[in-house]
Amino acid sequence: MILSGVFCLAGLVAAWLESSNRSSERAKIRVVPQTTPLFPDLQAQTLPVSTTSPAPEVHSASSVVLPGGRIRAFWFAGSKEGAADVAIWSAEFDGASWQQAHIVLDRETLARGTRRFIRKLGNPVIHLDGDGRLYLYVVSVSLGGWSGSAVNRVVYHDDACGEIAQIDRLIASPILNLGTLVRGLIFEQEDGIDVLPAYHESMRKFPQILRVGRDGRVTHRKRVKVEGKLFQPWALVGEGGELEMFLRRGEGTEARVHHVVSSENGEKWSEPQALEIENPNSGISAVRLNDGSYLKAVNPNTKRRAELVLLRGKTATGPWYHAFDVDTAVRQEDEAHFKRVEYSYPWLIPDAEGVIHLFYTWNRREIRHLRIGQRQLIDAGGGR
Amino acid sequence: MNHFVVSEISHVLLVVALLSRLLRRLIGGRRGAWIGFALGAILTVLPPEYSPTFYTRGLLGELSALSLIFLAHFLVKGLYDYQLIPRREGYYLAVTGLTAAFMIYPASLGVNAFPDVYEFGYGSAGLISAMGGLGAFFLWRGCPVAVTWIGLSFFLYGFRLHPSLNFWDSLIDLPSVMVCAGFLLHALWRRIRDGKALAGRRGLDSTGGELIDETS
Repeated sequence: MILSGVFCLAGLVAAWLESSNRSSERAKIRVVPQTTPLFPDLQAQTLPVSTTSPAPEVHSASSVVLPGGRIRAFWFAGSKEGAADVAIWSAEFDGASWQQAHIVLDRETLARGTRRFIRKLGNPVIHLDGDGRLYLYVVSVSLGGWSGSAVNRVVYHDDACGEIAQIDRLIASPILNLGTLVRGLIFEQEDGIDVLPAYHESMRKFPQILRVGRDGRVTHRKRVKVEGKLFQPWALVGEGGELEMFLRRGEGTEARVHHVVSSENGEKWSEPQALEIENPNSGISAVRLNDGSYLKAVNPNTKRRAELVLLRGKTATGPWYHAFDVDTAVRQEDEAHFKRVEYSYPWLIPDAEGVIHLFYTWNRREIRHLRIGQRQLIDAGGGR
Repeated sequence: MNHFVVSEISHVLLVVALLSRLLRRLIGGRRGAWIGFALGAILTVLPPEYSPTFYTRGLLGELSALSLIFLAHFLVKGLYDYQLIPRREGYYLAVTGLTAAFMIYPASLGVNAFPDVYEFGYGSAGLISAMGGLGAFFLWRGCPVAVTWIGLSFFLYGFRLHPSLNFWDSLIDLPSVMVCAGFLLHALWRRIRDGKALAGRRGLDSTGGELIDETS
């Protein structure tokens, strides 16, 4: 009895010290300053990204701008979504064309790295940290469907993603660590901690913010309270470092994009507000343009993903103006034989020159890349 | 790095405890338990893809201090016929484990009516102090295993030995909560059964008494 009491007391001291270490105030999110307001006048150009990969089905692109203006895109591909042969593919854009795509992570490698059985892979999300290291956050499932998901982090030695430096499993849920997914731009705090807009999907769907330390462990999790099913957040950081998120709606929830704003360094969140933009239960993406306005890639329909457009608004809550048609329900020659068309899972990023890059799933057959100058969007979407 | 070692040890313990229990049932007696123990130990040193820990970790995730205590109990009971957790302490562990689960699980599943107590596990000195108080209570009640459980949770959390940095994950996990629920349900069933038996005996006694009364 005395021994267990001493053991408990020693543990209590260690836990208390650790706890006081960690409860210190969270660092602010690093805001990338936009010193040169560039509004390039590049004509819209669409390029195929994934055609060099032989997989019949592709989905869920993510991308990052590398030093020197190169862009690296990631997506999952395989015989079909959720199949055991799905792997994470990647290719690099050198400013003119896309290089040969290659596998950067497969199920077996992730299973070996996390020392556990993995049944399937899902959404990849890429992040380049302040030291130039690439962090690939990827969803995996060991048991059941997507509600059995967990998130893993893969660190690469270089930006060609040739060799893996480290693999970690994030623990973000107390119930068998199930139900956590990611799909959205990642931010970094000033102390190097990654801020992941993530979401939970099991009994209910809701967004959450995960903070991940350098050692690949979750240091904090904040659930965002929502009514109904609102998930797959796309976050943006305001000039003061505060986060705001656009949310995809789930079944049974008003068919619109929703918006929430945080205060107190992401500790408090506003009530979700339904925007005037329709949403057919599909992913959204957004970016701030150099004039401070918002650009959003959405499927502006309550039922289908057959149109993908860019909308521009001077504020996050609108009003929204049509800025560009990415793909429309009018079938092109190469999709005439499809039963239905789908343009989904947009991923928007600006590069250092102010060109906007949009990646999206084209009919689950290809990942496509649209690049367009900001001037065209600003002139089209309600002017400056 | 240490958290990998602790994770590995906990799943090895799981496999040997389960096999030991299973083979004790199949073969019978402590000999079966020892065979299960040896078999489990051999299986866990196989290459990762063939090791049962590869699958238990995929299925159950990372184990908590409460699971480790339960596994140690099952293992010791199988191998040595020794009850590591006395029944009275079992009640304390089960009630505390279930209460903790009730506090964190609903909010983690998105039930808005419940505050997200799981969030406090990432670095709340208040939570640690409260658990310290619980440890002191167990000490006062003379429950060494329960005190060890709280102490082990503190160690896993305080020295970052658990793969999760959330204190709640060091304290409980779903498998241990299910064992707690099973223990309480079993205890309840036993109580009902014993109560019925007692009532039956009392019934006989009272009938006998009346008969005696009539004859007198």
